[in-house]
Amino acid sequence: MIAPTTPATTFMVDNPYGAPRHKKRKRPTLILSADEITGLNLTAMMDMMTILLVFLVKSYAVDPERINVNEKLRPPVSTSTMEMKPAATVTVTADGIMVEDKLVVTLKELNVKDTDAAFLPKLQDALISRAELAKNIEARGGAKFDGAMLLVAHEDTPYNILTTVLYTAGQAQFSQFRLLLQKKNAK
Amino acid sequence: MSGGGSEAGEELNLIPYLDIMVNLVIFLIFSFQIVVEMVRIELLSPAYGGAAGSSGGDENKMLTVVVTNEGYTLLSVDPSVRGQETVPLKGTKHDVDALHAKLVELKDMFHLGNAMILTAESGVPYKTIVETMDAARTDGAIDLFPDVLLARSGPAVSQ
Repeated sequence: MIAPTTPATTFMVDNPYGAPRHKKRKRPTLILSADEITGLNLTAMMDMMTILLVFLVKSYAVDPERINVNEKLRPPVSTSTMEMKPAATVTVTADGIMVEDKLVVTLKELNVKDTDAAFLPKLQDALISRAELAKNIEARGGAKFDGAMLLVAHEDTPYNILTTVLYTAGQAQFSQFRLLLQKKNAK
Repeated sequence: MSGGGSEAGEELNLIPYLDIMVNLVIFLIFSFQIVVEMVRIELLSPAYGGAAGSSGGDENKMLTVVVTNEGYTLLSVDPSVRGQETVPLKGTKHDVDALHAKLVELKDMFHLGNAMILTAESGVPYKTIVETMDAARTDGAIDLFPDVLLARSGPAVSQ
């Protein structure tokens, strides 16, 4: 015969009808000494870093047709819905005039003259070089040069600078002008 | 038997990989710039300016909008169209709503084409020019003056 084992629960003598009370068991706590810690678990950090990296790479690899907007180049907002078409780009920032991101004339160099024939020789030279390059590319089977030019300008650019840039571009084999503007977000 | 050099319980050393990741993330965060969606406005070239009549209206009745520091002035090359209209400033800003209403009225009254000439005083900012173009482009779904020819006025800039 096997002797009956003592049950884990005990009834209190003063309350025989009460619910059985369990003995409290202490939860074992994991306390490691400094010698026992062998390394951090890096998996969670790896996950977080990978997600961050993927997000940043996706944001970085943007459409090449987009323009980076900053304090010195903030084009005006427009309600136009025509999508941008790539072309030779002339940029007028708060500091100067650039052709394909290369500074050609600083605005400090410019002055105002009472003549309608005024144009910018340095800009004209840069645009002629750009047009020749586009024609060479076309001659080697590349994209056709259609004389199109994109003008990206800061919102505070005075009108006479704009028209002078357009006039100069007209003297440098460019005949189609497109203004590039920020799309107005529908609210 | 031990196949390969690694033991079963050994973990990969992730620290060099993490170093690369941290450097990449820091580089990308610092080189991150705001990019916005862009649209375009096609300008009429002076050589094509006379083709405004092809859009349905009379090419002799092309309207000219002059942006000044006092507001807008509307001119026409055709004397049969009202000679000159002005839209004064609304406070300190150009009144694009009043300009729009005036353009709608003139377009209907004189059967004008889709092209207009836009010119401004030399110091008028680009932002105001674009606002004017936006006000003149459409009236709801109907084209108003979507073809704009920019004309120079006043002193030009030179090096």
